[in-house]
Amino acid sequence: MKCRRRSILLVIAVISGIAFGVERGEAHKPITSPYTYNDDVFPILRDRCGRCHVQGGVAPMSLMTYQNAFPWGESLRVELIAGHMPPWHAQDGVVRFKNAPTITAAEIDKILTWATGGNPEGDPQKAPPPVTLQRDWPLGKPDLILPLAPEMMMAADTSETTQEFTVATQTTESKWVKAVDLLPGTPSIVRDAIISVKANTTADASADTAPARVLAMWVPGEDPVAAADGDAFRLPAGAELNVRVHYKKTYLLEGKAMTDRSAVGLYFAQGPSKEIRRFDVVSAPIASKGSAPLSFSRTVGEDLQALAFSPDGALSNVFLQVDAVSPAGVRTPVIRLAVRPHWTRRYWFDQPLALPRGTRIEVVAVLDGADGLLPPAGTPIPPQRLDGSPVRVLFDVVRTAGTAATH
Amino acid sequence: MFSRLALFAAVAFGPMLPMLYIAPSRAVAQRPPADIELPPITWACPMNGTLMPDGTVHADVYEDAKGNCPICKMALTAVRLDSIWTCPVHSVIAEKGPGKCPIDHRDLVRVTVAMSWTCAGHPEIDQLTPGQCPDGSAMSVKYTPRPHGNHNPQHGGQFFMAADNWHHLEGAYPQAGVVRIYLYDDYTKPLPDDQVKLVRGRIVTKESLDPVTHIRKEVAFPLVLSRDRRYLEARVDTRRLPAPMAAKITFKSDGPENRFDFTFPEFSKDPGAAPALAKAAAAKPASPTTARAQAPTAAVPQSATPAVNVNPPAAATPSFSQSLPIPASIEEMVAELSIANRQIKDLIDRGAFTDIWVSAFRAKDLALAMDARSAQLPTYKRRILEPAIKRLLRAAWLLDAVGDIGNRDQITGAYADFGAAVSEIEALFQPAR
Repeated sequence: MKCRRRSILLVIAVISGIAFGVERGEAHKPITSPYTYNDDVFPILRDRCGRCHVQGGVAPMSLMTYQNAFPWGESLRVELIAGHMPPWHAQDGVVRFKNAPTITAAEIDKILTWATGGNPEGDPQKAPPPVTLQRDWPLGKPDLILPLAPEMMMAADTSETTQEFTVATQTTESKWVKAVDLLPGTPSIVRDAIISVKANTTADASADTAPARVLAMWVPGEDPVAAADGDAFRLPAGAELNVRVHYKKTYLLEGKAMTDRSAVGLYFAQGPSKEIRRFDVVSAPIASKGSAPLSFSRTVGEDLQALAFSPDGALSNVFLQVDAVSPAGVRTPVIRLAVRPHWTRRYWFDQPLALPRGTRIEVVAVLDGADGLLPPAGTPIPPQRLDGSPVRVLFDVVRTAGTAATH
Repeated sequence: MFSRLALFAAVAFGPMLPMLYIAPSRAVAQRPPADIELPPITWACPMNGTLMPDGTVHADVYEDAKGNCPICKMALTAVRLDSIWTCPVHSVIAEKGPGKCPIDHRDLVRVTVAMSWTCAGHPEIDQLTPGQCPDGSAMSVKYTPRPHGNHNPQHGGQFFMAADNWHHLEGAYPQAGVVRIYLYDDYTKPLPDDQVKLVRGRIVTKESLDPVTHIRKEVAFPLVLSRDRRYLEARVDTRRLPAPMAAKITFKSDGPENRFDFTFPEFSKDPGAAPALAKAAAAKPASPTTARAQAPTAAVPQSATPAVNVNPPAAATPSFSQSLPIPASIEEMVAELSIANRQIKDLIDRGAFTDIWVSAFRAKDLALAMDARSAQLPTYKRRILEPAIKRLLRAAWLLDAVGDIGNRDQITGAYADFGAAVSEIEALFQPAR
């Protein structure tokens, strides 16, 4: 009944609008969207998009004021329908992830209705307060802050570059790390980053930590996920970090010289922890160029719990289908993922995924959207340039004992 | 595709729009050369494309001289029309000529805009001739997009928009074996002769795809310009009705080929010399999105026998009287969702692409209502339902968009996503056997 009443009210409102002259907004456009920027759209954009789409943010436009947002109505429509924004490339509904964007269907519909319905501003008296770029650590002040040096200089005629930094942690004892974050110095150009423990600095490195242990795959707009209590990455004493930062100017910054001085933040776990290890599943080297799906697998040799999944940082434009097949033959989907350039991240499972000994991890990689295993809607995959390298996917795991194969 | 509603809005109230797509900085940053020849002033009805209280759409009225609208009697308002080049997606960009989009490097597309003059910091200043600002500086030119607004066939055929958002065409099948293509600009005005001369195309009545070589074979018939230059015509081998066929057309020599899939259920009846304004009451909405937004629950009527409920296109034209309430229970919503799904499939099968949006949006409204009630469901159902609803929602909006373009491949691709989402939802609520 409530829905019905609402519908009737909307119809009455529309008819009234026509009878008394169509309501017009600040820009004298007819308002056909029942949703306005000030009342309905701004809160969604602020909460779901405001980390990047804010003045000085990494996105090429702010959406935090009506004047900023309404010219981009058509772009919003296209990006939302295609599922490109918010940027998240794992297929929903397979397994839940801690760091998945939380935008709801109703919120998407509100923005689309507004974007195609005349972009009404609403009551100017309700104009939202200014939104400023978030320039702090979402998890609070880290236990150890490591500024990247030297300062990155990006020439006026350079639009994109990747730079590697080596950072000495200068720790005198082994540490347990439960979260790692990056605070961009110039957020408008810091596009993504991979933070690893350098292999050659870890004298006590086990096979699992060689050649380099990835601590974080940073992408803008995403809060770092702290490992659950009792789980942590091991940071050897005196370890050095390798920080690979990808810088890219938006079109607004073309022709301008830019600099950056970002910093890495480490959050340490209190007390001894269960080490988060790396479990790789790697294909054989690709022999020839082809479009057939590439299948490969690896069997788990001990009882493990998977905390997160990530594609290899070098992988892009590949659709991955990953399943876990229990020793009893029960197949469980792990992830369906379109790996997009510069959006490589760690996908943290909402609940740890039990992988008892004997579980087979099966991976199918589609290199160019071959028939039978198409990517999610709206994510056309351009052909992958095959260079003969194997395809590698990674799980972050902890050892367990006698865990049941359920999740 | 441009947002039809936004464009409709621009057309309907363009003369009063300070700016629509052009970002403020862009809108006031451009200054035409001193010797620029200003485009002529056109007089437009401010109600063009507006949904009227009787459920019909106000036909577009454009005149060369000042006066009142013959339909609603409102005073026509002046607008100075011009063309600029903008990004296919990022319409905030405005350039004087063709080139590449500085954001995504795709080719710029041409759009029609209203040209006026304003002053930085004075959005209330909006005039049709250049002048001086209060601070003594020269006014800056401002562009306000105004294309589209009338997607009604003019010759009893089927009307589609090209992917470049500027060209439009209408396919008509006046008699067995004769296909005509009428070409329009983004104001649904006949394409000028100099541009018609650039158009090349053919009508394809049969085609097959070799699964190994991916080579497409087709039986095609050339489109030839008529003597009076009003349309392109092809003599085809198809005689029976309904008559499915595809028009494959390039609008300029180096342009991409556009595909438009027509299915003519009957021979097209050209209303001929009947004045367009007289047809206003029967006109289809210029923008389905507009009509949907103005009548949020617009939908096709329900059938008493859901299994066979597939309505003809005429019934799909929305009006307030056809607004349907959302059922009370999720199970009833799923049942109606299944009906909408079958309607869409039937419309696609029959080639009635421009009517798809009605059922797609009905399905979307049902899915959103389900989403709002999902808290009452067990967690395992909610985890499947919520992402399925998001997929359905996006696919419904996509069906709305691609339905206008008339490319069967794109429509069936969007429907594949839509249908898969519906199947997931149906499976979730299927009674246990």
